[in-house]
Amino acid sequence: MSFCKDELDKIIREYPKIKVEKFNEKCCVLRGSLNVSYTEKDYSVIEDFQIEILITDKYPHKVPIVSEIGDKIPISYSHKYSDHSLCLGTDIEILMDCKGTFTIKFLIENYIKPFLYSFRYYQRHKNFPFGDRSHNTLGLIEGYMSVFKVTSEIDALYTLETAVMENYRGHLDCLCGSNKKLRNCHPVTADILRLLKQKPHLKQKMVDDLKEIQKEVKKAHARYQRKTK
Amino acid sequence: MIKNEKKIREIKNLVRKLDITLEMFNYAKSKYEKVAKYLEFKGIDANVYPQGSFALGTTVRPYREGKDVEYDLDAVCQLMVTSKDSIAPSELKENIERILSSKELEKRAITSYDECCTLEFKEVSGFEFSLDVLSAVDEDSLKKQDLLLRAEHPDLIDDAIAIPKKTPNSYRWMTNNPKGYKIWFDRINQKFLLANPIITRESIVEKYANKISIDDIDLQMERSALQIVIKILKRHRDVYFSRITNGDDIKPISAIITTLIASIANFANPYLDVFELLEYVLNDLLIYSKRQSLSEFEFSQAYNNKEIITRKSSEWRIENPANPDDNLANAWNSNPDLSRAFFEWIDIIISDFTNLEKFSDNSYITTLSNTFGSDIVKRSINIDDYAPKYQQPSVFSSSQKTKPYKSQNVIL
Repeated sequence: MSFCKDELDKIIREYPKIKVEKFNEKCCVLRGSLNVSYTEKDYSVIEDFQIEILITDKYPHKVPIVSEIGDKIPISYSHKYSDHSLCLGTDIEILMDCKGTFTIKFLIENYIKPFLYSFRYYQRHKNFPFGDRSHNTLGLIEGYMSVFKVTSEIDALYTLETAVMENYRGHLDCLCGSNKKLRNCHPVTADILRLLKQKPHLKQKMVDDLKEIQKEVKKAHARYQRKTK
Repeated sequence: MIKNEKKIREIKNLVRKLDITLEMFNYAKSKYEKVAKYLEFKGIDANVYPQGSFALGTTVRPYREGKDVEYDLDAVCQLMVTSKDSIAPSELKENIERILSSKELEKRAITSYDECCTLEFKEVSGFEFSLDVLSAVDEDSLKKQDLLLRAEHPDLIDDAIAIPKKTPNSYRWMTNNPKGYKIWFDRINQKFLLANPIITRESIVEKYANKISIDDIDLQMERSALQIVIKILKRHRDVYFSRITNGDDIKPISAIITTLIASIANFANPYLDVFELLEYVLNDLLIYSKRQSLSEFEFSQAYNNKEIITRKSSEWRIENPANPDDNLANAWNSNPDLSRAFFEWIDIIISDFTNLEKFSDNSYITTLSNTFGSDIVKRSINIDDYAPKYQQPSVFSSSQKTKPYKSQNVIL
């Protein structure tokens, strides 16, 4: 369990209303009250939420499972699963947001609190203050558009394919066909490819996501074939 | 709704702060009187008078993008001698706007829009405002006779005016009746003013530390429970719809809010206090919301004498009491989002005021700020009375503005 006692102590100190419910080699469960106190567009939420954070032995390569256990967020909420866990964002965005190594504090401050705030904002205004990702495969692709900083779904897919298939080399030609070096022409992509070399779990995540996207594209194609026959 | 005496005083005080002050009122009045004098000087017989919230005493400081911004006041410039037959609508608008462009009026800017022109005035004692001036002539007698046949209040029709209305290629005449509307509104409001004026003349003198005498105070500065309820709902609307997608397009117009509240209040006991009247009005609007789901027949069976909002053959109608040609809910019939947004908003108001009465701590301050805007709350309420340890909520950094997601493919 690479979730070490030091980090655990830091969390308990920083968030005194969160307690350790379980801690062994396989997992760690944190449970307690989290205070959200934010304002956006002059709409404030100052409220405590009961949450649970399940950290598996794959941490920090896998995003912990976060649940709202105080029954404030209904199952019908579009970003909550039937087991009360919350979908804080696409995994790749969360993992890449902190360059592949994150802390629980990072997760709480940058994902859990904004999620809880967004829920209350959505309840009143029926829109998301910071936007939201589409469901399923489309949302995944949108996540990659953000990670690769591209503006089209096609560019995101192409870059993802390349990230999965190519290993970064300093003299790699740019993927866009400009004949320039990747590191000069599209430095963001170069940085990501460089990072993937150091963080194989991120590359694996991209491999899995690409497989899922390709599977969905195949299914959609098959549906289309059936319709047009 | 709100029964706690302290909260009642505070919210009334908050709403009072949203009103234009006596100073502002006099300054704005001096401006439109100056326009009238200038026209007279130019040999033009014109009547210049306030309309809308300025005339009715229901002004609230507008709220845009989380801030309280400058006031928009409305006035009509009606040429008295010119008849509708002798001038084209576009010509009338151009002529008046040309005159209003004169430097004599000491304005900062004039901008012409489709339906009116806006005069912006220099700041005076921290007060900035713009005046939207509508050009008009008296409506012709043939049209007035036609209106009389269908009017709910025939005695108001004689004041009807014709204003230039933009069409895709030019202008046509459209009937309007702000004077008649004010007479209708004042009749209802008078009952509430006499029963229970909220700001009495004496208290205004007190407020200005006796620097002015009672005689200086325009009757306009008295505010009834009816006027305050209208202000509360207008302000709530402004804050709430500022965060709704396409809020500007779907928010209920002030004419609808004012007409509905005054029409409903007409049946209420004029001695009701602000929040008793608010509750009365909202309860009635909840009944009207059933028109969304019940047929005309089902609704009439369930509810007696509820004709302020009608829906015959699926057509929403809220009649302008001073102009039978004007269906204030006309836009509801071309966009179903509008009626839905209106009644959803009523639900939110009820929930907000229920919570305001229920909470007496941090949550009260938060709900009040979310309802009316945090700035005005800070300026009106002593937060320490409710939450001595109240801490301002934080602002999100850009890295915190993350997007939730959901996948059906997740293995849990």
